[in-house]
Amino acid sequence: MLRRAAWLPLVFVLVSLPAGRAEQKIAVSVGPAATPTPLLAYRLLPDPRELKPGNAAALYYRTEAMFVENAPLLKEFRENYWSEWQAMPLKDLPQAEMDGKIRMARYFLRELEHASLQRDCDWNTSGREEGIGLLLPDVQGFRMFAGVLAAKARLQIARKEYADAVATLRTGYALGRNLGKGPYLIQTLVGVAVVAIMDKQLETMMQQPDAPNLYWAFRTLPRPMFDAEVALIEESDMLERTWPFLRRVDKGILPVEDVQAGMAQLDKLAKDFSLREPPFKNATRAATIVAMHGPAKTWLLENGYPKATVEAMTPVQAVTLSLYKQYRLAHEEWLVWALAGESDSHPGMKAARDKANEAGKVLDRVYFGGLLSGLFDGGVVVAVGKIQEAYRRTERRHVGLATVEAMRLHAAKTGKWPEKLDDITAVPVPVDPVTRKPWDYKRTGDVVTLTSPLADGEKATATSHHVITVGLREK
Amino acid sequence: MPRRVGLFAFVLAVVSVPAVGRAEHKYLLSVAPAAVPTPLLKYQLLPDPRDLKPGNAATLYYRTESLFVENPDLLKELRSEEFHNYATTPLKDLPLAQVEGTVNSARYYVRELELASRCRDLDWQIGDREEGIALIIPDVQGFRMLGNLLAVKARVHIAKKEYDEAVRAMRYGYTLGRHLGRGPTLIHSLVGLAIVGMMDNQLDSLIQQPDAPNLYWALRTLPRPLFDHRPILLEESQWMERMWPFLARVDKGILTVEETQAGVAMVDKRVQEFGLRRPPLHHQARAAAIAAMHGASKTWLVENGYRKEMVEAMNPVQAVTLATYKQYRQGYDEWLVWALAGESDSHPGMKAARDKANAAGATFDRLFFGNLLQGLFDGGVIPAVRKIEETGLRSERRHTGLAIIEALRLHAAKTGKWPETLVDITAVPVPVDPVTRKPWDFKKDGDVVTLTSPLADGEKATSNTHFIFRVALREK
Repeated sequence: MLRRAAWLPLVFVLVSLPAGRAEQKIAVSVGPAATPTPLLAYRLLPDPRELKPGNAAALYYRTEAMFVENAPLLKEFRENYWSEWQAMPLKDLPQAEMDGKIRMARYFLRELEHASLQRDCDWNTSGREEGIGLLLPDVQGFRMFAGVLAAKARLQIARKEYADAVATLRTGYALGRNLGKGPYLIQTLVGVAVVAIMDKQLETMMQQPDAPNLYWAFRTLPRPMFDAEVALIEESDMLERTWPFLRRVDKGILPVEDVQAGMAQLDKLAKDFSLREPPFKNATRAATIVAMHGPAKTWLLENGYPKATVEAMTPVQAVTLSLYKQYRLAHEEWLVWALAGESDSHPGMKAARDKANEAGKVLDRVYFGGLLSGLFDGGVVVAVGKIQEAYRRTERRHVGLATVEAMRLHAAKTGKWPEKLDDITAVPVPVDPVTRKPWDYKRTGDVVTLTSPLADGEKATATSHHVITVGLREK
Repeated sequence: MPRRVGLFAFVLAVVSVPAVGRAEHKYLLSVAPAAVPTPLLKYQLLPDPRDLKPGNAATLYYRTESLFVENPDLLKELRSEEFHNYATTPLKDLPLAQVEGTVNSARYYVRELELASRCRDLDWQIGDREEGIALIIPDVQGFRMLGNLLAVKARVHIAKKEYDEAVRAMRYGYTLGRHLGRGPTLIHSLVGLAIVGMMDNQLDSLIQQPDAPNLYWALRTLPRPLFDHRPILLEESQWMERMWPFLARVDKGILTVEETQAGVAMVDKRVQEFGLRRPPLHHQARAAAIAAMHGASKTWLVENGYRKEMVEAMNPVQAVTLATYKQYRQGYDEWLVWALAGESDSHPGMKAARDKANAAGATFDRLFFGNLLQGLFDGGVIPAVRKIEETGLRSERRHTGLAIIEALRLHAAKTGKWPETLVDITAVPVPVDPVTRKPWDFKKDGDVVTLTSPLADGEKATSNTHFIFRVALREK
């Protein structure tokens, strides 16, 4: 059973682009298309006016709960054909087979649709004392549903049932966005992945000769689509929830029994996680603490703790307190930068991050036996930059696709494709969500290349640099 | 995929005691004296309301089952007959190491159930679903499996004499059962009753252990009634209209042919969506049936206050649908008030109302639902409330019997001897029967006491109404 701690690197692989790419490329071929009537005939998220009181998360969980009595269908959902169908040319789709499989899934998809129409989404996992031990296998299950929704939408696109396709995708976008409201970064990253899966089908749909124009559907998506704030704050005291003694260690001079109880929490943790403890664990830990006692006391004195208090503390309390405080102070410093939306390439944020990681690694080595390496070696503190990038990549892709829709709209209205973005006057052409600058527009005959602008000093990567090649058709 | 149709009868059969040849429910126990614990509410079978936290328990119950998505092996193990049987295996025969291993593998699931048990609110969020009777609720059967997990966990703790832990596991189970008992469907409630029965079995085992705590106050402070089916009966009474919203429209004046066609298309679509095996009548056959019923329907509508010219202006489909619907609704509502008043459906008046609603429901079924509804509740559209109520009362009677036994143990611990009559017990009030409000019959023969639940006037002795506890009295 996968736990939170081990998940983050895996999810990164899922949402990340291959390394070494200097841009994210999308190629589409489109024809003119006017906006629909009413303008919001197609929406990528449910109309807020139609939402009903209720908690979407309960119904998302219920969808997965229904597998309890249908293990064979769960196996079906995991088959590769769903992902193969998502990328298969429309003309090659085995429609009859897909019909059968999608029909099997109809009760599950209906439940997801019901969930998408709920006003609230509370995953009921905030504040859990399990800390890094909290199980989140359900999250990966939601990614599986996204694949089924995408395959269904693709079948509907192949049949030119565009309104139905958008309705199916809407359920998927709502799932992605609701995951994005989750209290854990893993949930938000799976949400990003789910939205990307839906976007792929939209790219296909807008290339169909008679596909509706989704300009306003894109432009009315909430901004930001994903926000790490809730998850960053929730995850910021993960260490304390994993080892509650840390909340106690700064409450004056603790008796030996209290400190022993704190150590017992660690032993229980090791047992819960089925960690194989090294021989002489206690002796090794004791020796380490003795060696660190002096510097720990010095640090505490330098940071305002009264000498009498520090001297009265047991070595375990003094060392634990100093390591914990160093970690907590640095983490808070990093957190405020992260909440401010800054990039961790900034030297100040990087310094705070490195400091928090270093303190965290020492805590891990002395007390957790490497259990937290997922947090400090490749996890949350290190990764927030990548997480923010994943969010921005989604928004940039939507801006690019909305720009393509603006072009189609212009062509439908004027009878010709724009020579430059300024030619488009019927609707505002969206600017880049990061730089607030317009995208670069180059037209060569019947091909337009749209390129996202880099911020000052920003490096061209697959996340920051989007290139959309648009073939222009008459129909 | 199990739907509510058919599932109801199955679940009822599962929770019911075999009827054949059983005129009573017998329990054989052997107990020793035990004083009440300190504090008196040290052991509680439901969470202390003062400890509840804001939140919806149902969300966490669903989450518990959703965790199986990534752990099908554990799901398979928990569903196995072998694991199921551990809940009733004699303590001395329980393969402790093996069972404990499985229970430990499921500890994260138990943790979710614990957190759910401490939530202040409960909303299963499927109360007003348009699927009506066709809503699939496989999750409910899953909760039965989780109830068994908690029962087995409690049993392991009893075998290891970890009584606090055992009561804690049972508390999660009783709470799950009671939460299911709040609906929104009768199937939820029946599965809830089944789970409470599983916990009661563990309680039987627990109080027989030599040093087991006295659970008198734990049993006496359970809410009464433990299950209240009235909100569910109200909820279930609307399923026909939810499945076929046209019924709400059919009584709004004279409909156009197009509107009526749309209404019929709506029910055909619904039947098709739910993949029913038997199609409704073909169009011609349905048209013929409606034509045949048209005259009688018009007569009924006029006799029931509809203006003649209005009835004549209705197309035959509207007139027949309206008359049948109104008969169904009137019969159902009449039956419903009897049921809400807690009356038994063996009463002729209630039975007549039930038959009326069932007859109209059968017409709907034949015309529009492809005989889907005939497999619903005992062959009709109305639930067999008597059986459900009896099942609920069985649980309460069993708790009364156990509480009397705990009062015996308490008396023995306090006075040093077992009581000769129930009146001898003065330290605590001896509970009376929850149905008749009469005391249970107490017969002592040496070291054996027989406790028998009293029958109400005219009540027939069945395994649901007649409880006999044969209690061997030990010194330790």
